[in-house]
Amino acid sequence: MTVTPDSPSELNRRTVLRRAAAVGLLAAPAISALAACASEDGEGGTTGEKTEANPFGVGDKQPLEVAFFNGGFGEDYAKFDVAAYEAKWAGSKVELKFSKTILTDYQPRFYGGNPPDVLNNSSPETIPVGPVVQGGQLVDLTALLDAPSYDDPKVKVRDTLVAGVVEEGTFNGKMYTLNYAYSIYGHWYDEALFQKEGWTVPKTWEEFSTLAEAAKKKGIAAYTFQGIHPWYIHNVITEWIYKVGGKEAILKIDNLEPDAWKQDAVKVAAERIAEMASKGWIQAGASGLDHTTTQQAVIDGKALFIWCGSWLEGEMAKTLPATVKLAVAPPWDLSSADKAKYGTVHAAPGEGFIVPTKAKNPAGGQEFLRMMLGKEQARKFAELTKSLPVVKGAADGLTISSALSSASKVAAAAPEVINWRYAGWYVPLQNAVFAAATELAAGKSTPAAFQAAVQKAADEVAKDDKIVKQKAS
Amino acid sequence: MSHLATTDAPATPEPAPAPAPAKSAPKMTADTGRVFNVFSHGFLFIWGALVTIPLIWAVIQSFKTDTEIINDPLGLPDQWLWGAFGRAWTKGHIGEFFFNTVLVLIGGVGLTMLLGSMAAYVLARYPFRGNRAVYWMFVAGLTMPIYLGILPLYLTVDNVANALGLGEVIGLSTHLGLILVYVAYSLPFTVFFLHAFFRTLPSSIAEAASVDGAGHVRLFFQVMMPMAKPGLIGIGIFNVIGQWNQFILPTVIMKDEDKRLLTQGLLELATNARYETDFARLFAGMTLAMLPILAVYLIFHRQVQSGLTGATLK
Amino acid sequence: MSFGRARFITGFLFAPILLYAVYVLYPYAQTAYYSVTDFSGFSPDYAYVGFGNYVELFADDVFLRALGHNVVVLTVYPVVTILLALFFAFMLNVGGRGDKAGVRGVRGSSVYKFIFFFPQVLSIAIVAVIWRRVFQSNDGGMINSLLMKLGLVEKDKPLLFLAESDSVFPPIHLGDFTFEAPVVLVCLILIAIWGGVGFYLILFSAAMQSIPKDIFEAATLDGATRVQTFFRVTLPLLREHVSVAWVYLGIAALDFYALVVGMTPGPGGGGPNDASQVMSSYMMSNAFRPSRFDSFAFACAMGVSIAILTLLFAAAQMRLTRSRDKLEF
Repeated sequence: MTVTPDSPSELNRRTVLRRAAAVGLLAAPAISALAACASEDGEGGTTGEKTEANPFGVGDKQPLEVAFFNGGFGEDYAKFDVAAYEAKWAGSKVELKFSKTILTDYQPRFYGGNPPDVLNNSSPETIPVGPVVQGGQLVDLTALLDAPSYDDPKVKVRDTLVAGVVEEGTFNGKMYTLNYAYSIYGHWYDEALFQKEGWTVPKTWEEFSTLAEAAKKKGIAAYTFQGIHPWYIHNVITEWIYKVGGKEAILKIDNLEPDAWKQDAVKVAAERIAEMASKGWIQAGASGLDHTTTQQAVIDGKALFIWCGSWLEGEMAKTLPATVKLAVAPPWDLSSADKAKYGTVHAAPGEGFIVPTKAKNPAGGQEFLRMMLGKEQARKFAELTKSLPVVKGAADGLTISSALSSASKVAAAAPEVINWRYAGWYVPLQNAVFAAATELAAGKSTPAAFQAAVQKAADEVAKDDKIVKQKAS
Repeated sequence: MSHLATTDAPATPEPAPAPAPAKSAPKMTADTGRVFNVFSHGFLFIWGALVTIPLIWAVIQSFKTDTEIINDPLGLPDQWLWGAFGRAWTKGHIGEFFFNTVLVLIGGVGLTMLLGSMAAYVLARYPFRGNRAVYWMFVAGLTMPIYLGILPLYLTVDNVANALGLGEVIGLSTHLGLILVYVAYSLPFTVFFLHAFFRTLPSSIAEAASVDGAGHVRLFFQVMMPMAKPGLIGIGIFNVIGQWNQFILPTVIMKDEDKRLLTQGLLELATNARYETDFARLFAGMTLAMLPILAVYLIFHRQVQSGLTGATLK
Repeated sequence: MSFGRARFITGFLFAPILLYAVYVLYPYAQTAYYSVTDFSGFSPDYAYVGFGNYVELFADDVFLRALGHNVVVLTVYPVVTILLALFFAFMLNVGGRGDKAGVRGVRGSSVYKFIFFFPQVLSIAIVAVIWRRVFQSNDGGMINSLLMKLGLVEKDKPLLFLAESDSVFPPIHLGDFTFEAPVVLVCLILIAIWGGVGFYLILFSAAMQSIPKDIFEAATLDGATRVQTFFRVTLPLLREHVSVAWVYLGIAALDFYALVVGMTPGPGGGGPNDASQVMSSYMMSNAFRPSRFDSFAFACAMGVSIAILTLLFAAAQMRLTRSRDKLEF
C-alpha cells in the first residue's frame, strides 16, 4: 500500500473502512488488514530524526502504550521505567497497562490490528511467537541489538547483554523477543533446616537416596513439585536428561531426531523420577497441589527440595519466616556416568518483551526497551524484584538477598550452563512432556510409558508440516 | 398448552395449609409414613449440609492466618482476624467490581426483558411471513456455546462502536457495550421462554381491548405485559442468575482494570494468590462477594421461587 | 390497521433482531467461516483450506477422548440431577405426614428450598475456588483432612480427587474411541450436581404445587404409599417438566467449560493427562494456546462441531419426549 503519510486522508480512509465494516461490507479480518496498513503508514509520521542518541527516531510527544505482566516481579519496576521514559521524552504520554493473562487480554489486540507498542509477553499463557512471527507481526529486534547502548554510545546494546539472550529470543534466525530477566533454576531447600539436622546437600543419587530415607523417618518428604502447573516438572525431567546424556542428548530432542526420547539418558531420568514416586519420597498428593502450596511445604519443612527459578524468594516473601534460609542446589548426579559434570546449572533468560509491527509507535517501543537495558533501569530492576536482569554487571555491588546470592554463586561456579529449546518451539511436544512427566511423578505411570507417550508426540510434530521446524546447535 | 396450566391463580410458593377437615389416614400408612419421614428428613438434611458446609468452611478460612489455613484446614482460627476483609476490599477492589457488576446487571436484565418480551410477543401472537424463521433463528442460538464466537465478537464490538462514533459509549470496556452484548446473548432463551408464555394468554381480553380501540403498542404495555407478569418474573430471574454468573463475555470485553466485573475480579484474586500468597484474602474476597447476593436472595427468595413457579406454568 | 400492524411488528422486532444479528449471529458466522481456513487468530492473512480441519478433528485422539468425556457427563449429570431434584421436590411438597393438614411437604420445606437453591446464585468463580480447596489433594484439603482425622485415609496417601486420572471403571476401548470416567471428571460432575439440583428442585416443586391437591389425597385415600403416589401420580404429570430439564441439562453437559477450566490441572485445564478434557476446553486450549499456526481455525471447526452436536441432541430430545400437539415452540 503506497499511501502518502498524510494524516487527514488516513483518518478519512479509516473512518470509511470502519463504516463499511459496520454495515458488513467487509469481513472483519480484511478491515484489520487495511486498518493495519493505515497505521503502518502512521509510522512514517514519526517526527524525530534518527540520531545516535535517538537511534529509532522517536518523536517528542508521541504517545506510547506499554503492557506489563503483573506477576512475580510486581508493578514497581514497570512504573519506574515508565516514569523515566516520560522524563526523557518530554510530553510523550505513556499509557501503562498491567495484565495477569497476557494472551487472553492481548490476542484480540493482535487480531484487531491495534496491539500495544511494548508487550511483556510473560505469564502462564503467552502470545505464541511462532504464529505471530509467521504473520509478520513482530518487529525484528536486530536493530535494537545493533543500536548504541543507553549509557555509552560507543557500545552496542548487543554487547551489554549476558550470553544466551539473543539465542533465547531467536525464532527463524531473527531475534523477536527480548528476554529481560535472567533466571537461575535448580532445587531449592532450606539451608537452616539442613544445618539443624546436620544434613548435607546430596551430590549423587546414592547420597540423595540416603537423605530421602532419613527424611522419611522424620516424616519429611525429600521432594515435591508444583503439581497442577506441569511446567515445573517438565523442567526437572529435561534438566535431568541433560545431566545424564549431556548436550548431545538434548540436541537430539530439540532437533526432533528419530527415537530421541528412547535414548538411555531419557530412560535413566524417567526411572529416577519413578523411583522417587514409588519409594514415597515425593510429598503426598503433590500432583494435585498448586505451586504456592508445594513451595510453602519446603518453607514449612514438610519437604526438602523443590525445583524452581530464582524468583522463588520474591514469590513467597509474604509467608517466608526469617528463620528459613532458602538456597539452591544444582542437580545431583543421577548415574555414575552422567555426561554433564556435577554443578552444571540450568539458567536462561526469561520474561520476554516484544514489539508488534502494527503498534502505533514501534520506534518508541524499541526505545523503551533500549532504555530498560540501561544501567540505571537494570539496577533498579534487580533492587525491586530481587532478580537478575540480562544486563551485564547490573547487580554489581548491590546487597541482594541470600537466596539470590546463593543462586548467583551456584551459577558462577557452574562448569556448564545448560538450556534447551524444544519446549518453546513445539507446544504439542511440551504438552506431552507436561502430561507424561506429571503422571510419572504422581506414580501413575512407568518410564517406558513416559518414553512411548512423548516419542509419539515428537514423531507427530516432526511429520506435521504445519509446524515450522527450528534447528538447535 | 401444558395441561398443568389448568389452575387459574398462580400457585403460592408455600403449600397453603389445607382448610379441609382432618382425614384419618389408614393406620398402616401412618406408620410407614413415620419411617419414610425420618428417611426423607435424613436425606434432605444431608443434602442441606453438603450445600452449606463448603460455604461456611470457606467463610471461616477468611478469619484465619495463612499458616492456619495450610496446617489446620478444619480448625477454627485461634484469633478471629478481620484484616483479610480489608485487604480484599482495598487490594482486591471487591467494592468496585461489585458496583460494575450491579450496574451491568440492572441494564442488562432490564433491556433483555424489554426487548425479549417485545420480540416474543410479536412472534407469539402476530402471524406473518417469516415468523417461524425469525423464531427459529433465535431458538437456534440456545444451543450455541458462547465461546464459539468470542474472538470475532471482540472485534465486532469495537468496529460497530467506532463506526457509529460511539467508541466511548458502547465500545470495548464500556458498561453499555457489555450490556448490549449481554442482551444479545440472553435473547434466545428469553424469546424462547416468553414466546411459550404469551401464547397461553387468553385472546379474549386482547380482542376486547383492541375493540376498545387500544393500539398494538398500548395493548402490549397495558394489557399483555401485566398479564405476563409471572412469566416475566421467572425469566427475569433466569437472566439475573445467568448474567451474574457470566464470565467469558466480560473477560473479552471489559479490558480496563477499573471496569472489571466481580467474576473477573474473583478469578483475578484466585490467580493473584499465585504470585503472592494470601489465602485468607482470597477467602475473604469470596465471602464479601457472597454476602450481598445472599442478602438479596434472602429478601427475594420467595419471589424467585414463585417467579419460577409462574414460569413453569406457561 | 394492517399498515399499523406491519409497522408495529417491524418496530418491535427491529432492535432485538439487530442486536442478536450483530453480536451473536455475525461472530458465529465468522467462526464458521474460519473453520474452513487456516486462520491463526493473530494475523489477518489466511487462506481457504476446505474441510481439512474437520477431517483432522475426527482423527484427533484428544478430541475423541474429550467427546467421550462429554458423553459420560451427558449420561450421568442430567439423570442424577433430575432424580435428586424430583426426589427432594416430592419430599418437600407432598412427602410430609399426610395427617391433619392433608397432603403437604415436610416441615421446614421453605428453609430447605432456600438452602438448596443457594449454589445457583454463586458465581462460578466462587464455586471453583472453594471446591478446589475442598478437594485439595493433601491434608490441607477439607475432605482429605476430614477423612484423615477419621482415620479413613492415611496421611501419606491422600485422595487425589482433581488430580486423579484413573477411571472409576476399567476404560472401554471402541476402536479409537475410549469410554472412561476419570475420577477428576466425576468430581466435576458432582460439583455440577451440587450446584444444579436446587434449581431443578424449585422448577419441579412449582410444577408439583400446580397439581391439584385432591389428586394426591385421593391417591392416599386409595391406600397408595408415597412411593406409589410418586411413580403413579407425580411423575406422569411432570413428564414435560422433566423433559425440559433434560434439554437444559444436556446443553450444559455438552458445554461444561467453566468447571473444567476453573478447577482442573494443567495449562487451560483439562488435566491430568487430558483426563478431564471436554470438547469445549480442548477447543479453547487450541484457540488460546496454539501449537501451530492454524490452531485457531482448528478450534473453530471444533466449535462448529460442538454446536451441531448440541443442536442434534436438543432436537432429538424434543422429538423423543414431546408430543407435538401439546407443546409447540
